[in-house]
Amino acid sequence: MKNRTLQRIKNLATHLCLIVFGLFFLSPFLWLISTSLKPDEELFLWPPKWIPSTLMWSNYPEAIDYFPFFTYLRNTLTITGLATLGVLLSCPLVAYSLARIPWRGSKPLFGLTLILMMLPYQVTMIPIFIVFKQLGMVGTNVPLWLPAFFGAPFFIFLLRQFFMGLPKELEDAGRIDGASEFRIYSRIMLPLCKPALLTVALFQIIGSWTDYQGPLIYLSDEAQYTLMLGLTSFKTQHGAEWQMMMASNVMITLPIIILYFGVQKAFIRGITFSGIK
Amino acid sequence: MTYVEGTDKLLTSIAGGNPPDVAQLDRFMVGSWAAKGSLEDLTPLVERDGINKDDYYPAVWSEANYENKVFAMPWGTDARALYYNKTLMKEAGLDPNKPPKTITELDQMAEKIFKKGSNGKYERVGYIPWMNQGFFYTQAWNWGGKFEDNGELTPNDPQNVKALEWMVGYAKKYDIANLSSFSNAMGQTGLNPFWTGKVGFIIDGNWILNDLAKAKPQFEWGVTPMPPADGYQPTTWSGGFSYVIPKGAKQKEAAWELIKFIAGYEGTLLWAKRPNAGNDITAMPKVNEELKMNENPNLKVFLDLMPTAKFRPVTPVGQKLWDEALRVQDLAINGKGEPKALLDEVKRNVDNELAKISKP
Amino acid sequence: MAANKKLATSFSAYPQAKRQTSGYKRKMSLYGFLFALPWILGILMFSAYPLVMSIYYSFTSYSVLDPGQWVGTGNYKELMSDRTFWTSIYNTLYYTFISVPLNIVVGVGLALLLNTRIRGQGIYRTLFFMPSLVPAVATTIIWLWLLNPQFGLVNYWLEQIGIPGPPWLGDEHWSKPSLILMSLWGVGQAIVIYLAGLQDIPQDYYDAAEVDGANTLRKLRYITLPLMTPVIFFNLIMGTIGAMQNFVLPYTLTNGTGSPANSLMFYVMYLYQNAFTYLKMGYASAMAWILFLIVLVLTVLIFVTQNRWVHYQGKD
Repeated sequence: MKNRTLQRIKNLATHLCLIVFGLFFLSPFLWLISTSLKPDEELFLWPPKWIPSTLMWSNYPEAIDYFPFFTYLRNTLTITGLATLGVLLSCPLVAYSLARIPWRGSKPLFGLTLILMMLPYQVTMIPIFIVFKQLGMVGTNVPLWLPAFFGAPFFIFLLRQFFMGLPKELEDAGRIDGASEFRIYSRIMLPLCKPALLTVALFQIIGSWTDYQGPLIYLSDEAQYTLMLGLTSFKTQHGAEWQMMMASNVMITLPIIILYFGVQKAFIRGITFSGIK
Repeated sequence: MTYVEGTDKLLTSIAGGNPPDVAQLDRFMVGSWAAKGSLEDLTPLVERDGINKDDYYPAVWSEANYENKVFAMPWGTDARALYYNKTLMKEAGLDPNKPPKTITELDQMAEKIFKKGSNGKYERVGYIPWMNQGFFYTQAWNWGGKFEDNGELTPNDPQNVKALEWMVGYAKKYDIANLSSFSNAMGQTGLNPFWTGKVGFIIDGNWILNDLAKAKPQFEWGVTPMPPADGYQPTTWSGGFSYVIPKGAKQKEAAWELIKFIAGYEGTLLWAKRPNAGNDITAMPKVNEELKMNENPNLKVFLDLMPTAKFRPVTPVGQKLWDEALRVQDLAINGKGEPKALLDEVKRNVDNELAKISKP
Repeated sequence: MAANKKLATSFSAYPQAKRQTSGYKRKMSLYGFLFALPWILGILMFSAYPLVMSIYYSFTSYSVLDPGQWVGTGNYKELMSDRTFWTSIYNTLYYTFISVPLNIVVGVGLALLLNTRIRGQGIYRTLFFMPSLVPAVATTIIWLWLLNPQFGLVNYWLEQIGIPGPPWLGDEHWSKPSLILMSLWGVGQAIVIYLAGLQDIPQDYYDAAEVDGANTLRKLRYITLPLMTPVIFFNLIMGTIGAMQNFVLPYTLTNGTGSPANSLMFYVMYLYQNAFTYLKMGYASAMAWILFLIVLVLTVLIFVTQNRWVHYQGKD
């Protein structure tokens, strides 16, 4: 049938486009892997050689031994877990207030939330550090997850959009029935936005996992270091142990990729309901 | 006792009133940090414990001093020289065992090595003055220029101007667009054009010797002091690290004992003996001698130059001066200004900055 | 604004009288406040002080290492005559005005492709997201390799079709376009949001259109794109804020120098240099607040025009 062949051609063209672009997008990760497996002599070839002549798999176990990998892993998991829990508890609450509770503060507070995202972190990082210093939290990992329990502007914005898209009848029905606002929130609204919550969780996980600046400034005890800090141990005075560093990088990034892939179906459905429409 | 590496972190912890007791600081920054009063004056401790400044190379010791006071203990150093590709020299009909001794010779030899391919782009490059460590500072010193004189900063010293003009000469003669497309910005990626085997001469540091050992290039190469302008002596400049005690550190005595050790004879020796020390040179001539670094002919080139090495001026606006010099170098070789005028502008800018700082 | 419209209609189910009582309003104010309390506390504890301090710093010669002195509008005045400052504004605006629309076009385009029912959708979608997870060093090297004027793939293919390849990152006129090209790698995150927007369009609209005989192009123009405008709007705002703060990639590429010829000196790069290298945190704070004003103006402009082209749709 003519239609079916036309469809097949369209599919083929689409696949071709996606493959070409896809490879292009995949290339930095491929470079990571390629460098991690290179023997010394091929490391500095320019133009770069993609497939090493010998695959130095040994770089991987060596990289794990180079710094306390599993300790840092445990620390990173702790911080990431707490931070994610924090945003999941706080941001939906706030977003609900901004989106569905009719009070005078909702518009100004929303404006303020947006505004807070417009100032570059370089000038606020020192005063923020001083705040934590006064609270006696420098040298611990607390600054890396405690603020999450008090909200994060990007997620608040996102979740607000989501709440705006839900049918109004739901909460009106709840209010008429005399249910408390919190019940409306927890029993009706929240269960409807599981996908959006998953989205927030994923973004926060990626954020905490790959955070370098935060752990750098606040952690001083090596026993508390995170994986990203571990990467810096491969730097030498005038260069780096490139292969092991890249191997380490691959191992650190892999869990995130797998997580993303596994979740992306629900993830996409999640932003759908954000009612950004 | 706490110890910190990494300036961002160091800055934040000092700002937060939480300074570590000991920090490792790039020597280049000692001037500006000391000027802000953020480092402990080590002079009394140095005098009390009889530290002899002649144990260190003059350049590395001076760089750790500001306004005649000691603010840091030098640790580790580096130097620059000219690497040359013997294979390419042979191909161009030059004697591979006679590397250039003056800039004039360098210019002539480089000219013979430059070769264009069929598409008009360079296949072989003789010499690009600003590649790798060939910054304007380096070239200015090779031309007998200077950056400070009697307490004043002199970026526009007449010899400096000549050096920049010479660099611009290369840009004009060999077409800057073509040169740039060859050298490209390689940032901090650890890739070095010299290893491609397509560069005849390049100025680089002693640490490259480590990478060359790893990379096992396919061509023969050698290293020699950088050729100076006619009538001047070969020279080099060095940088390196140091150990400091931030102001407000709680355990000053302990901190001092620590850095006395690390930056002193024993510590330096121990560090230099570590297995992957490779071709690093230390800040103390005696240690270098003890480890017989002289017997490595390549390293010897760098070592011989260390006693007369230059160093970047120790001033609160040191970093600004450096960045201005690079900015102006960039503009000049891209044909966006005359060297003399640009360097005069640099002088005005840094003098302005200095004036702001000295205001009571 | 849309928010108010929605809130207004939600009252429709209530008896007129009850809605207007001050008792109801007070109750809602209390609830609104309580629910937002964590964030309000968060702002007070973690954002208020830094915000106020950074404005304060901008009026001093604070250097992080010493408290500096009050200079009033000194920093701002100095910025006005700082050549690099103006260059960085030019560079950043140039980059923002081109890369943001480009990213939207490419993002939407790829999202449309990724939305078709083909096998391996999951894999493709993951692929496009990957560059966001890779460290700057890797991205830098790949692009240096691709855009190398002599043997890079891009110029290679250009020459195959008879166009002489430009010098890309080595030339001041081509360096920003190179960076704009490189910004396309960040498109994965935006694509995820576009995909959501696409999937939210009710199939009935398309079915109805088909019945009317519309082809793919018409469907795209009259259904898909208009209904995607709210998502595009979101990404436009976030994209603009992000582009104006572009820092990591040009910094890694040029080692902080912005070469060639300062063409890659971006605003936040210069800000960072002033703050942490020159120890002029006061000066940098002034820069930050000027940036804030510029971004605010741009954002307000976008918000103001939203009524003209953004189509919100109720979920019912």
